Amino acid sequence: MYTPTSEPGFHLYNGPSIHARSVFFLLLSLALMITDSHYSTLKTLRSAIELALAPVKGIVQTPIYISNKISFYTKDRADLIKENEDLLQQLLLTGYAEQRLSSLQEENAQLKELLNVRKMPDQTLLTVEVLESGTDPFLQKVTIDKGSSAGVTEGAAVLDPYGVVGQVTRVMFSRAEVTLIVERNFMIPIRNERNGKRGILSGAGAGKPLELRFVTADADPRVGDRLVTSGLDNIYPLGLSVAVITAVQPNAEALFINVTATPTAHISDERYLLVVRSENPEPVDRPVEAQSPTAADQEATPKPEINSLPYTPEVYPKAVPAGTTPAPAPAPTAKPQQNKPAPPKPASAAPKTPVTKETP
Amino acid sequence: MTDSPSLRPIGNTSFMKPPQKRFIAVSFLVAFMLDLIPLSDALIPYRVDFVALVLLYWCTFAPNRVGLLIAFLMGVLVDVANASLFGQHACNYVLIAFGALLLRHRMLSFPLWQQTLFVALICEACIALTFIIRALVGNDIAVSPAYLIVPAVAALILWAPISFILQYPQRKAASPAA
Repeated sequence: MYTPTSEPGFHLYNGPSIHARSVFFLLLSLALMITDSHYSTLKTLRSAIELALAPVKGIVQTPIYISNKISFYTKDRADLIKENEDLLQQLLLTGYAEQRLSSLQEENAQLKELLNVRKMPDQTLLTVEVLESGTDPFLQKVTIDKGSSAGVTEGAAVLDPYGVVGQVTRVMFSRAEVTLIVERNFMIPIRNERNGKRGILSGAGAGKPLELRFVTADADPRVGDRLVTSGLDNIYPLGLSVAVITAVQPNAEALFINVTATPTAHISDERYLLVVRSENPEPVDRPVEAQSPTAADQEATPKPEINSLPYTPEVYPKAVPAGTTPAPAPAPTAKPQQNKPAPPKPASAAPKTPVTKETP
Repeated sequence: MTDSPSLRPIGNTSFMKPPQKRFIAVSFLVAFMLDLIPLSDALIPYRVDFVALVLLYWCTFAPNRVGLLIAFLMGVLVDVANASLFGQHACNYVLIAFGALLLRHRMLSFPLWQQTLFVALICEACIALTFIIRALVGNDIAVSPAYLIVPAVAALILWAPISFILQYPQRKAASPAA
């Protein structure tokens, strides 16, 4: 059949048939999907294309950004005055809380020094703006406006004023992608605030509550319990609110109870978020060998348990001079043993889904 | 008109010159930029995929210029831009291109409004297949039904304007000669 839109030579052999080529490209895209969802090998390719697309994205987003700014500057005066008053009141309250916090922190630091507990790395907070929610209905992700240039690292925790929002999963130069805790199979180690039982909370996908997996009856979860970060992963600072238990269904046949929870963070409507930056993440791996006599000795002594005692992380932004060495290391003598007989826990630097064990 | 109606071609589209490569590239760029416009959360399910429609158009009217390879590459670009799973849009676009290449001869013999139905059908079939594939690959499909309906409705509404715009330079080039 001759169609004028086709070029000369249409009737000749033009390579494999449409069907064969379609199947080829379909398989190729399937392979891409499977690779991307299970491995991280395509990261460099993606960031290269991202870089090339940046100008186009910039052109599209600039008018919208400008119009947002204009609507912000032309906000109603009455609204602004009211908002200002509210904020001032909040500031008063926060100021009071901070005064108490700083004295508590001081006290806590002294106590920890007495007990020889290893200090957590200094953490600072970075305020970021949510640029866009994901357009993909399958993924619970948002893009934020700061990237590796501002010190955002992969694996960093992301918070809002009400709790944990998620974790940075992909970092580009000037933006980063945050996976929300509601994403399916997203896991976060938690502790029940009421009774201190630890567990792993995992997301179940859009519009579904979070699930607390592998909970036995003796963990005694109750509706209304607040779940906070356990700090076992070195990603999330200890004691941040994550979720509140909404349903507990005992299951007579199975070993574990079904527990569901809703996140406390206002996950989809916050415009500004906080990214936790670890200032010196390296020393987390191993205790600083300042006074350890020999390597063999150090191997023998159990690593000090990070979470053997509750501690207050440096929640407030803190000016850390560049090149500061981590806090003087506790002498790894017999103290840790006396402290806690628990086996040494391998504190990996930044596992995406940290493995925590329920301590009996 | 002196000639009898029966001798007139059904549509004028099949007698047009092939489109310029530059025009095709620009049309894809514009569609891509339209896709990138940030929307508020409430509007996101109703986002129209302009790249898919432009791709469908060119696969129908210029299959020698735009085919499966372009479809795949555009899909990868859109995947990166949307930060979605690699290969998701590529899969969708390859299916669209396949549908268009398969049905294009039949489509071209129909008037515009019937073409629109074909196009909507192709879009709907592709979105359904994509969802099935993604579910098989292991993703959640708890999503609003808008994601399933919007592509077909968008195709119904936008096919006529898109064909009008994309045919414009060719029609303009053809009219002085005619």
